[in-house]
Amino acid sequence: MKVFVTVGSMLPFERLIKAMDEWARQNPDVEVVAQTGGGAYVPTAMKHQAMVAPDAYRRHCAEADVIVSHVGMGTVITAAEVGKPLVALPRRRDLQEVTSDHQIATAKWLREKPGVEVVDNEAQLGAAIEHMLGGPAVEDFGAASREKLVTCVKAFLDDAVTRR
Amino acid sequence: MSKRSKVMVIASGGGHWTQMLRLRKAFEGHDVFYVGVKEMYRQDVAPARFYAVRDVSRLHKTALLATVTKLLWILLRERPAAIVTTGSAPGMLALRMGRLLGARTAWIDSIANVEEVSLSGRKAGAVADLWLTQWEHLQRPGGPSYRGSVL
Repeated sequence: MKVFVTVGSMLPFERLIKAMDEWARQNPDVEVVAQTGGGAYVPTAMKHQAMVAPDAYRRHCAEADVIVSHVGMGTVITAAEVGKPLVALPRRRDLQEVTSDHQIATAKWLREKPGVEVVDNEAQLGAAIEHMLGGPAVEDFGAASREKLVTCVKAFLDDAVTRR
Repeated sequence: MSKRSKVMVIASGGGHWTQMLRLRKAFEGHDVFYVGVKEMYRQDVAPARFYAVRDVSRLHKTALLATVTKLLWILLRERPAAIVTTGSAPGMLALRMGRLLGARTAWIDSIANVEEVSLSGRKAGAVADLWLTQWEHLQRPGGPSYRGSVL
């Protein structure tokens, strides 16, 4: 069994990393790999790297049984693309984990989605991982709204280039 | 085609970059080059031309001068006809500067902004010829339009 933990590559999120390091210590038979975004806390029970290159990031996501992350849309999209369940903890502005509370807002929307379990605090992570193990993957989003956006951007570019 | 038919696509890290990659079909058929905030993103867009600039969020203010200088160098060297960004701060800088050099500009606000358009996204209206939100409920007259999302 493998769990991939990612808090993005931009900012540390030690509350999540510490909790998952502790979880890894209590579950030594599980391979836990983390992208930590740097930070002062150095995990001792799980494999970790401040920043993982895009190809390795995708491979870790594809190999994981469950992905544990902050509420980053990049991770949500990748989890849907590789077909894996996701446990997500939003960063909080009042704890200086991010510059705005947009992750709380995204989390509200994400709660409705099959394949995602949003937790309110780090103490709920372990139960959520067990709950999501072998569960459904993050539901794929369907192509309709993406095609619409691609068509719009394409038309804009074709127009911009012909003006020259 | 004249040599001024290039398309510049710029996105900062993480979700901004992932969202941009989901739009790549829109860039096909153009002489497109990419600007990201980490050298390692080059592998995602190879063999297209790629430039790395330093990120300039509210937490990385010291990088501002370096990023402005590098963007100016890129813009003068490539002279793109259009610039597309999925945010955030480096993309905003590129739109502002590119527009002064005659490029058409597009801002696609991040899908992560579910309840309100981002701070940069609100400012983007002044410099973007195409100003989009990815949430229908955030579309406003005089504000960004909704034309689908990367999802």
